[in-house]
Amino acid sequence: MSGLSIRATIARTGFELRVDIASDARITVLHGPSGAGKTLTLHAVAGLIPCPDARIVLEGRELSSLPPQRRNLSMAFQEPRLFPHLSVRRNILYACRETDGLAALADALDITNLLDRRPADLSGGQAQRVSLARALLRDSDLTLLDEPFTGLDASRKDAAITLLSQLRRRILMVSHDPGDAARLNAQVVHVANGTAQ
Amino acid sequence: MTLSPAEWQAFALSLQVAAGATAVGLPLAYLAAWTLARRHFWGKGLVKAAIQLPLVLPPVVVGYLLLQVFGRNGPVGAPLAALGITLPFTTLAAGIAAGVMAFPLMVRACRLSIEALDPKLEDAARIHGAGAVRRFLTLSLPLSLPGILAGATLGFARGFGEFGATIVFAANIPGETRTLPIAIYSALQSPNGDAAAARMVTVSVIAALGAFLLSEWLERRTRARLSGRSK
Repeated sequence: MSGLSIRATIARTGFELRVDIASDARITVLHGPSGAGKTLTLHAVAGLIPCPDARIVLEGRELSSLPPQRRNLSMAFQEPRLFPHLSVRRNILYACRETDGLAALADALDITNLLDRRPADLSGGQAQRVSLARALLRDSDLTLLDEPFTGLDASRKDAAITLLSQLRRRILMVSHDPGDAARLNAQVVHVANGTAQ
Repeated sequence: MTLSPAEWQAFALSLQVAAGATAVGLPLAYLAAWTLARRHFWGKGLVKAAIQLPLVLPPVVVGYLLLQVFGRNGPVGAPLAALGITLPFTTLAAGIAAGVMAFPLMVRACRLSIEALDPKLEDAARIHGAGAVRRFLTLSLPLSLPGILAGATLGFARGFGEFGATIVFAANIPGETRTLPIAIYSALQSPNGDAAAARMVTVSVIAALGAFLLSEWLERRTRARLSGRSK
């Protein structure tokens, strides 16, 4: 049995995507053209869109019937989705009350000096790194990352890739850049023409 | 210009009635607003219309309906009377009248702020383990605070100025149900009441203006806190 197995038909008006993914890799990258359904696949795994026939199995645990909050996942969305009324620190700790790893993670993502700021004070790239930190601090069984390097300059993207390579966690991510998967030593799943496999 | 003890009493009673109506009505209004904004159920349009009804009905009609419901022979009043509880023509009746008249305004303000909440933020909270109660307490409630404050202000103002439903359901009993608007009306009805009416009108204008400025300040502060900008 694969570590991560996803079988689902994601139907939207005028669009249907058949997903059949089995991956033992620590990092799996969904790759494909815009509008192919990569983000939809992540949202289906997260349980954020209705997908009645989905069968998502993670390390032998069936997730499909669980609500999103009980799947023990974490996610960095395409747009950061930070909570505007909370400081950066409280945004990151929202996903995990354990503060132990925060300092090291903030250092790795170069957001230490942002921790006491509010989301509206951040640039797009800074907000993206905070969102990534929120997803990575939580001790989740699977981390979903939707184009996590968007808006990051080259050096910070390198730092983020190094961090993801070093972390011992299972990741399913969307990336447009085929080089990312190679650098992360990830299994690539092609999403195109109504299929993801 | 000073108010007489009876006029102060009417002023204090108005404050008490409006504050009570807002304090009790606001949580119920938020619950109703949440249900209307987030739930789909059969008869929702009818429930919405019933909640909004006091806005479009003459207040005297609302007072009459309250009297029918809570009167000694009414569907709610009769069982209460059997327990020895009489509502009409009491301070509580004035509070109920004010609350019923203010309710649609409070629901509307709360509903607009709930509808403005970004569901994507709730998704982000859900995926990071937040159940319904935590999402409500940490996201929905604080982010809809400006609407709650607006609802409280509108509700308080409406309750403070309530006249028509109150005079029918609670009557005009000095010290018990004679609120400031009713006291002004009574003063205008008496031959030498013009000066008293003018004093009370002045006090109500000052009180209303003060309450409005306070609520504006509170709302601005809350919006600034929620806008996400550091201090």
